[in-house]
Amino acid sequence: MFRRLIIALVLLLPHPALAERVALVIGMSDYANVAKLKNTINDADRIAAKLQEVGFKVTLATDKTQSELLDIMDTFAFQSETADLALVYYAGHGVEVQGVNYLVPIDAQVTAAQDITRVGISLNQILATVDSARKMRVVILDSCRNNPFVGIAGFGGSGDTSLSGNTADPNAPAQGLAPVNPELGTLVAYAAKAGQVALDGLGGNSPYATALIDAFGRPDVEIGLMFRQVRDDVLKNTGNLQEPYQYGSLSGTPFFLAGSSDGSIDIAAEADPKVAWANIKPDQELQMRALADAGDNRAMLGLAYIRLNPDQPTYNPEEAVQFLTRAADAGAADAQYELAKLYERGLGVPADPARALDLYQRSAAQNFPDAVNDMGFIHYQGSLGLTPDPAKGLELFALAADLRQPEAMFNYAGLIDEGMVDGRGPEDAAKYLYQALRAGSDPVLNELTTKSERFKPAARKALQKLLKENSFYDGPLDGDYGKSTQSAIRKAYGLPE
Amino acid sequence: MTRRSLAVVALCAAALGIGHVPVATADAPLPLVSVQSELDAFTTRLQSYVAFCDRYARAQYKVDCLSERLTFAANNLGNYGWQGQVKATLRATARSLYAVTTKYAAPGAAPVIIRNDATPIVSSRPIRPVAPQNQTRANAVASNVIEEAELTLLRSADTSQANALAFAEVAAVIGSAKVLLRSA
Repeated sequence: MFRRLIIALVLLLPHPALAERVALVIGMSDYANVAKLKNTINDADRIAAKLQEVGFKVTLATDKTQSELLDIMDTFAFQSETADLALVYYAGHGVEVQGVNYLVPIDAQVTAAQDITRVGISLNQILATVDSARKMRVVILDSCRNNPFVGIAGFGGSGDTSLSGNTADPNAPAQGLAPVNPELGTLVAYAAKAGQVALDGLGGNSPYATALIDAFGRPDVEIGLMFRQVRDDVLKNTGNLQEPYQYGSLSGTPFFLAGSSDGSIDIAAEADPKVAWANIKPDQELQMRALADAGDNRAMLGLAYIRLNPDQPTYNPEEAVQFLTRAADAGAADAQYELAKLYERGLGVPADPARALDLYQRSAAQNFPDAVNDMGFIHYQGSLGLTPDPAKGLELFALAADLRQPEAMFNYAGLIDEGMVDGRGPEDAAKYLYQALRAGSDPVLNELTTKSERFKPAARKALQKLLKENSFYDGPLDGDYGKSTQSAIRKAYGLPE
Repeated sequence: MTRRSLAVVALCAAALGIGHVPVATADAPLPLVSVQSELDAFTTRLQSYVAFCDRYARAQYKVDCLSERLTFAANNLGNYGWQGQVKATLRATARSLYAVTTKYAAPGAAPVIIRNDATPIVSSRPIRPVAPQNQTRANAVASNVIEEAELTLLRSADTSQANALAFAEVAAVIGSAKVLLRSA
């Protein structure tokens, strides 16, 4: 008989951030039915070694069949769920069929272009393995080498899309992989621009792999700047014949893969981007300023974060607002979201609920997950000038949950558990709770370990069942969240126990 | 009146003092204890009052019982910062609930002091019942009163300094206790 909605206070107790980084490094060389590649295994070995050296947990997969690779990808996808950064590097044949890119396992047998859809690994499948990583997802394709399927019609461009050794003419038209449009916060890096081929290199490694290996070990370099350096190195070392290219975007979280030369930067990512960006060296901040001047939205976001860290002498919310405004006006969804928060708080700018709402809405319209969840909350609660609209809130929570926004998954689970979502039951609530845990939300972890009784027994049992199915729990399915269940919840989150 | 509906006021009150950040104003110095701990204590107290009416007051007495408890809770709040804001809202709500009781009162029914051996809480004044035939209507009007209080508190929370400072810690409650979370 009363409105369900009220506001209350939730204590968000801090938990140790994990900051795990995982990499799947794939090298395909010994093809059974198409031309073998010379340098790909060398490239994969050295890339894997370098990533391991700088702190990645690396899975190295060389010369694998489709079936073997799919198994490895499954395991890697599970690892990625609790990693802050998940990276895939692939060296091998790659082809495009009707706009879809495929990686070619060593057992691929193709007599017609459509066969590749059955025997290859699509780029979308690769992207799915990193999709659930918490902060950053990177896929590097060093694959446009020579054509493995000469004479077969239907492959992208001329049908000659992959090369090994310097056998292909890099000026040949319409070769290589197709452009891609990954989700926000996912970067897909090609060794060469879409439609071009990449060189395999005269030495033991491809020019692209060589540049990556150098860059991965370079201290003090933020990952966004690192990829720019890789591009410059490859262009220089190939006499401008090969231009690496990137699609999508890195998330707003900075990563320093090799830490800092003076040890001041932990190679692990800071949980708070404001703190993390403040670690950047002065010379790189200058580079970021140059990039920002050239219209790079991520650089603007990073510069804004630096100015939002109250513990640093660079704290200057007003300047942060300026950087964010430029990026937001350029359409950057993450900047729109951050700027909305400042307008809502009145930090660095007079509080302006209408402006905050507009920015949240623009960001959410681009499916920026945090903004979608907050718009769900705002509609549900009826704040920022909106009248309460639980139905709209519910709809947005569902969307944000499907975008894997951790708090949205928790919210949606709660609404399901309250019987407010038609056709959804305790198993669905548990599924979202489990995914929220895996996505690494501290508030969700706190809620489930300290206030689990807020969920009904059926949902609690269903979550125990999921924890058991994923080998985190071996106790009874009784809905009792005692010590063993709490331990399982922490393990599912990614904590040691 | 359900326990959940009664809890609305208790939990709404929590919205005004958000986070771990002690808030000082020109009129009120920085408190010795954090807003958080003050708020926790107040919320617990208010919830116990709500539970008291829910458990120990008979159906016709619940509206006035809540009016009395909200007044009592408000009288124990300070006049500044979040306490001042909550106090004003609780007092206004209590007055409105009292008016509901008056309008739908049972003629000639004797007011009673509500007490129970299971709790040290005792109503500070005699509580009046509504007439049985008016109970449904009285509850509906009381619901609107509480909803209005909720909106007032939400509006206050939206503009409070404490809320602004600890934006990320705002949460909404659904059902009896579940929370909804803003993006972390």
